[in-house]
Amino acid sequence: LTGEREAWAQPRRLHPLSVLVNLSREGGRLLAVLIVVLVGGRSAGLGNLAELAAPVAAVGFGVLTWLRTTFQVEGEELRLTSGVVFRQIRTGRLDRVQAMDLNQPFAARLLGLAELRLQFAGGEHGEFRLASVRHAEATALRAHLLNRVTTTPRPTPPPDAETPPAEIPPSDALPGDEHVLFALSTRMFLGSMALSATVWAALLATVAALALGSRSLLPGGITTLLGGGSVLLGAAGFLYARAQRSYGFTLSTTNDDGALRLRHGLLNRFTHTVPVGRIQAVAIREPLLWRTAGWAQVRISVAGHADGGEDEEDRHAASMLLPVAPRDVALRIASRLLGTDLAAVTLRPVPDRAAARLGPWRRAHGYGYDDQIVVAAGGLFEHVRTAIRHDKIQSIMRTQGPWQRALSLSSVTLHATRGPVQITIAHQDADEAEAFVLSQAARACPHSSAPTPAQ
Amino acid sequence: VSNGAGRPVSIEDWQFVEGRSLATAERARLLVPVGILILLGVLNAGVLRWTLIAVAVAIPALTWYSLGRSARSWRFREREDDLLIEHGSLVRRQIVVPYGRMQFVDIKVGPVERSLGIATIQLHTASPKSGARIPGLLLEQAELLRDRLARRGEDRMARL
Repeated sequence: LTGEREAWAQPRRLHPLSVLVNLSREGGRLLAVLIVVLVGGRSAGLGNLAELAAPVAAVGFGVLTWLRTTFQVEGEELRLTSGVVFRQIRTGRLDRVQAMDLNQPFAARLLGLAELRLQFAGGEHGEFRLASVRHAEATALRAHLLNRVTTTPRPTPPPDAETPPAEIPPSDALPGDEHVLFALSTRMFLGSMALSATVWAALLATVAALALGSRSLLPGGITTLLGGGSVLLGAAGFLYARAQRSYGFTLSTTNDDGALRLRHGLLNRFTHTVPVGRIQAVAIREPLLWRTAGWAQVRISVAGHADGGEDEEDRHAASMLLPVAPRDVALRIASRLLGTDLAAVTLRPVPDRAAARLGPWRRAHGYGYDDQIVVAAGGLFEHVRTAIRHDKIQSIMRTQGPWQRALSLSSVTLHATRGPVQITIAHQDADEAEAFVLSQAARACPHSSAPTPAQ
Repeated sequence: VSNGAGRPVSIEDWQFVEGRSLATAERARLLVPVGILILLGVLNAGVLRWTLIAVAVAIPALTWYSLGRSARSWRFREREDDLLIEHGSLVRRQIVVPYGRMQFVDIKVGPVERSLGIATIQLHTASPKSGARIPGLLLEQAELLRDRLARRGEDRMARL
């Protein structure tokens, strides 16, 4: 095995014929090079020479790229060095590999080559592509890497696995050992629509469109009719999409793997499965009109859903944990997912001098934390409370603009994985915020000096 | 696992970037738009010509000082559990990235940067918003830092 390790630790080039494969795939960029060379050559009066030079330049660029691209598996890292004009050395840790694909595009297949794609946990730049190497080499490298990737991140077990099942209504067993945590009644669904400002705006737009439409039945009103019709369609589509997302909504939990099942749909029924350990951050929204009824909405950011190939609508649906629920139910379920009581975290209000920035709305703002989570509250008409577990915070940024500096205020953003939940602590005392930021890493990685837990 | 107990103490102090080179690199980025404006000015005539040339002169004149100031403002500290980066002159930013959250570290060198012997370190976490980077490092300084960060990341690996 050591011999194999050493063999892969040497910087290697891709297969020479990969130049041809990449030429066929990067047709667009190639065309730009060709046009520049052709136009440049023609205008310089070189004529036929230019036609000859263009493909030579294209192949030359490909060969240059090939010459300057190497990869190696050194220690626990995969290192990819590339770039003709901009040199880039990319390093990815093997224990962070999320997925490994071995693809054979048509051109590569003809030449007996294959490309290896490695997906590292890390947003949009997380993909390393080795295109292309011999098929056998790709297979061998994949096997070697799989051998080394001993600790691929897996969904962690739910943090609340030991929570006594007393909160779960016991009688609601569904097929597959599911327990219903919350089922949205039709009454509440209609109420939530009736108390929504956006729904009212859509209805008003519909009424206005109808009024315009009826007037346009007079001669010459055909353009108004078209305009009114499109508004009508838009509003109806919006209302339908909204009903589709929340009508008949049930949230249940599975007993075997602790995943959440989300079901909803007006005409079509949708089911989404969310592993609890993949939930990164939670937002509880209380729109102005819903507050009078004591209702709230819960949205979540889920790891992997952003990077995966799932479409926008799918992602949106999987992030809607509770479209509308009584406030205490929303808090209880959110607390259950976070593994600590959300309502018990006391919030520090913003200082009075922040009134210069927030006005009377500053009372809705604040932040707080315990040993498990950080909570940030804010919002103007709609109150939003966001929460994240310390171990899900990826990085922290504190900003201070000139206006804030004059007031000695500062805002803090906690970065989670991609998703609808944005956690911002706005306009807190600058010194306090700095102390919070500087001590957060210790809370975020409490076991930093301990050995990595076995998986 | 000892988390780098043998590390020299000095690393915990503030480290600074090559502010002068970084400022030059940032200012060099202006060459292209300024050049295009001047070219357009020369190709046009009358009031338009002088307006374009005035704008071409005004851009570097107005941004020269602030580019230099913000380039000099970059500094960072390798703390016990995290990397702390501070920069910005008008809007100040302070970014903390725990070592255990770093997915991978890139070194980027553009043509201007290469001629000045500097490089940019780009840190990637599982959040696309992190965007933490340190520009204006000497190339070997950047490579050493990259290796140190990668090593500490391994020691403090955390799961998603």
